[in-house]
Amino acid sequence: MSGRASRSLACCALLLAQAGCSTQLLRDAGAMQPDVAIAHIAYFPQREHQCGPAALATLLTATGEAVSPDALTREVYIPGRSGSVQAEMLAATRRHARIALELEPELRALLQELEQGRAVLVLQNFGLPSLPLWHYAVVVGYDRGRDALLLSGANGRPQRLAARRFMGTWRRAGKWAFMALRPGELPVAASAVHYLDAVAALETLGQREDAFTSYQAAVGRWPAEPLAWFALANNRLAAGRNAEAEAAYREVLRVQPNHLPARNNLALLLAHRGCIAEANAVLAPARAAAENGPFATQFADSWREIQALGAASPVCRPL
Amino acid sequence: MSIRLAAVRAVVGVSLTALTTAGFPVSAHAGMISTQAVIDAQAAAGRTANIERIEATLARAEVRARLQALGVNADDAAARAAALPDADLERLARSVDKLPAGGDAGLLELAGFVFLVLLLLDYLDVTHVFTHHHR
Repeated sequence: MSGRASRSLACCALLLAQAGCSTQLLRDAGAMQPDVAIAHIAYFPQREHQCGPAALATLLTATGEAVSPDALTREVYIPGRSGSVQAEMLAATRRHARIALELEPELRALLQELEQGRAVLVLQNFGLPSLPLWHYAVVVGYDRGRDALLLSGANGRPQRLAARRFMGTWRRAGKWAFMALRPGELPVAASAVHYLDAVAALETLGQREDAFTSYQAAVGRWPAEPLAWFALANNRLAAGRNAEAEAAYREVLRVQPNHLPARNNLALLLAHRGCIAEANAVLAPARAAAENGPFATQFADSWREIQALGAASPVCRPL
Repeated sequence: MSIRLAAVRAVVGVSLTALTTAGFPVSAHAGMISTQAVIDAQAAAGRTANIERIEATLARAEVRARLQALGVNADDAAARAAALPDADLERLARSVDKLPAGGDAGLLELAGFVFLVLLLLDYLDVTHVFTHHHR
């Protein structure tokens, strides 16, 4: 009797659990608000196969960069593929002075950014794993009560998609998602290295001052992260702001004294200021520690350069 | 490596060196370590760490040619190849014709496709979307 009762209880619990799973995906993923709808979303009617340019235009416009799908077609559309590839979606975002930051492949990460008012561009697969039908869309909100996401629609209107269906199409696309951040804007939950990596990609394209703003934000958020100070230092050095660069390299070494790349770059900077003795002292641990390490070649080059600069017995100039 | 490829690499290498040493005072010295290089060294497997600059140049030219072959006009292909980070180049050069390419086939086509797939799955008795009551 009691065995039967407990069995039916367990059965009930299982049913409830299943019901819970199938209808409460957003709640389970930590949706904080009853509903979210991002402001300033521009919807673009799509031409055939042009969901890449249209979605990217919606994403960029939401961050204040007004750009048309037509302009983006030239930057991301590949006629022979009737579509756009992910790497180019990210690259085009950077060409418009935005940090392209890929999200953790989790619904929770997506919801967190939406709650901060950030649109997120996602890849979906409406086909099967073996017969894919790729599609880009921008998630522009959610409705927790109905357990649904709001997506930028193909017909120029927002479209409601049940979270369960969305997760099916998103999972088959590797849960790929990214957002566009304005220079200096920080994500809710990315790691420091992940963020800095995304900023460095923007910097490589020549957006030095935008990267500077972002590195400043990064050292504010992660003051104990040596890479943030190192990136800031290199950025200032490239801008010819040697004193600022030197101060930032010293911050790297304050939080991580054995940061060898920072020692290397600081030593070169010091040597060019004429401070040969200090340059040698700063570089010495790097040379000793990294005989066969990743940057051994650079350490050797720096050493030679410092000795060459020292041959003229320069005066150590003040900053 | 063929002699011709070696020669191309040598020429590209020399002109790159000439280009990069001209501009900046301290930052472009041979010994300076870039932010990207440190990030690449920190990143675990799964990324083309520290791709050689010459290899990147060759891969970029290859990506540009592939984009053009797929119908992108020459100027756009050059600008697009230039905008790609080194780490993405080799994969794109190898498989830009196979990588996922999001391009909505139009909602009607999409709906038709999904309908057919569901019908097929129902027919094969995998799902019961349309055959709900006939079990």
